[in-house]
Amino acid sequence: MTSSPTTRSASSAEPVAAPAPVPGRRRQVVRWVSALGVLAASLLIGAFVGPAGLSPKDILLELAGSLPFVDVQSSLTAQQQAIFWQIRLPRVVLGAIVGATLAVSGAAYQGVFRNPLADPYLLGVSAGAGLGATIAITQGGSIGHFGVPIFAFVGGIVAVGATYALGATVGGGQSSTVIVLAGVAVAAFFSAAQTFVQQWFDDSLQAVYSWLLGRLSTNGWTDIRVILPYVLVSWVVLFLYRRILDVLAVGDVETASLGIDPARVRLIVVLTATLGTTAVVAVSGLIGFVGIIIPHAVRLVFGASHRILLPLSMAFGAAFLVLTDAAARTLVAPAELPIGVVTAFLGAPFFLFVLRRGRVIS
Amino acid sequence: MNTLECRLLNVNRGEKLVVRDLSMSVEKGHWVALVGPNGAGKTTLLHAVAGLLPSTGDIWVAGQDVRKLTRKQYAQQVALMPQQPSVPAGMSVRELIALGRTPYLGRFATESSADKEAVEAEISNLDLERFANRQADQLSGGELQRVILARALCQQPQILLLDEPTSALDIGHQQVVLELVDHLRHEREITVLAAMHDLTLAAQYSDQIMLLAQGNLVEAGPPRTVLRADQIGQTYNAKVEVLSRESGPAVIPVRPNSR
Repeated sequence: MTSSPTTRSASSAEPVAAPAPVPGRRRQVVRWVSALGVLAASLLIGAFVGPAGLSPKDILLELAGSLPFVDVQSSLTAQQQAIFWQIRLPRVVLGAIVGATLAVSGAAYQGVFRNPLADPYLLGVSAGAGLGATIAITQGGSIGHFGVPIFAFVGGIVAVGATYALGATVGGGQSSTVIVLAGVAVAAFFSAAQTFVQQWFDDSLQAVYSWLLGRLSTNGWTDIRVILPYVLVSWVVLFLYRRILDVLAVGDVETASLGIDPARVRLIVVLTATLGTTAVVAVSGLIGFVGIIIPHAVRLVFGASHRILLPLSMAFGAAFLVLTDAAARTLVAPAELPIGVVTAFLGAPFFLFVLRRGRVIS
Repeated sequence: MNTLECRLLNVNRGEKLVVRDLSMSVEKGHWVALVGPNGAGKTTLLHAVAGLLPSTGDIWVAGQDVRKLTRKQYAQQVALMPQQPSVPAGMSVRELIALGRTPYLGRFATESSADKEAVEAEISNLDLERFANRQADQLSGGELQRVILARALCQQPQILLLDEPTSALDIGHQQVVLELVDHLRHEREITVLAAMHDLTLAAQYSDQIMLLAQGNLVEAGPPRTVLRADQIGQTYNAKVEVLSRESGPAVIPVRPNSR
């Protein structure tokens, strides 16, 4: 999977240096090593940080001891082991999954809508998923834990469909800002409906409210098991479309003249990205701006090709959310900040930055 | 053999019939210029021939009924150079050109080494080595047209559709691009169907001119017979003089009230 072919063409023999850097094989290695390094480092930091006072050395030993054929013992007590394996580690893994999914979905939405501002949160997908999930949560037992992602998915699909339909009626769907404005309106509507449902069933108010602000839960590995099938499908399908998303960047007419049906690709990619997004929203609540911050930062540093953008967004999105969660857990310790508050705090200024840049592009 | 045949083609855009009962046949390796006033249906006709718009009637490309082709097979036969190509931010020239290999790739595949060689070959054919690693959105108009031409050639098409390929260029760059297309069509026997604004250039480069007005074919034939001052005057509502030159008729605008 090479991103851009390196060649020893005649041009490299010319004394005139190309103005843009040559994306050579070494550059690619650097790219992947740095992404995986950042991811691994942030996973470790996420595992180290917490109120239980587990030492990094013991955590490393504990992790090493769990590998096959490695025989080392940490000095953790049984209770500390339980804290690490059943509370802290699942939270780090969940953060990584949520961050990777939100970032890769953001990149995919931006690709198919050709809109630098598209993001699960701003398109109303998260709010729609929120309504669906709230209905599922308030109905409790009859729907059950595994039904929440399905309700969230339905809500998210309805919301993104409404946003796109509204956006397309104004200015032929060409304007990035119109789609975002439509998304804001749709999100407001779904949030209002969600609040209504939540207040109506006020016995589950506490559960819904803490979910609403965005939080990574602490109920062991259950959430991960619930969402893993959905996010895996979404990751794989989006990755398969990495080259086709590059084609789509040249507009619908040219895409069709290159042999690709743009409407079909848009439908499949939106469905897939929404599947992933709504699944993670169902367990993590409304965590905004990850889908904007990460893909844009990756584009600025590594280029816009989706072959690089999608996998790197996943790696850096995972790292970002694990670190944000570590910050949310420690900033006001022993209390916790909702992680959605932290991402919004970082993300809103970044959004304005992208808006300014986007004006230049369009 | 005719590479392109259309019979009784009708194309709607919304409610409006934009191309009406149009029939034509173009010989392999010929250059046909589509001319006509704004709104005559030139772009619509090109898009219909490229299979980008629904149409009624028949289209055959290289003897094949295009309705039986998949979109990818279609794109292997017919390539389009749009009037204003979109240039995505952050895409290099090489990446933009490589998109031309899309019709030859499997559903979820990326370029093979053969595809990459084809891309490099077109880059060197069109003398674009210097630009290959540059960001495409930093190119000038003339450079961009060459890049988009290289992308179209990567499709290895039988038919090249040009939608006013030079309307944004100055006269020097117009000549460079048109000479390049002319050279390539002779070299590879590519059939060219080009919507053109400049009638003199259309006469110089094409074997045949099709004059359209309001979706109807007014006249088709060699430049000398189609480009007559009275006919141009009527169709375009213009006042022109047509000079006969060795390279073909030259169409000169005349000021209505001068002398």
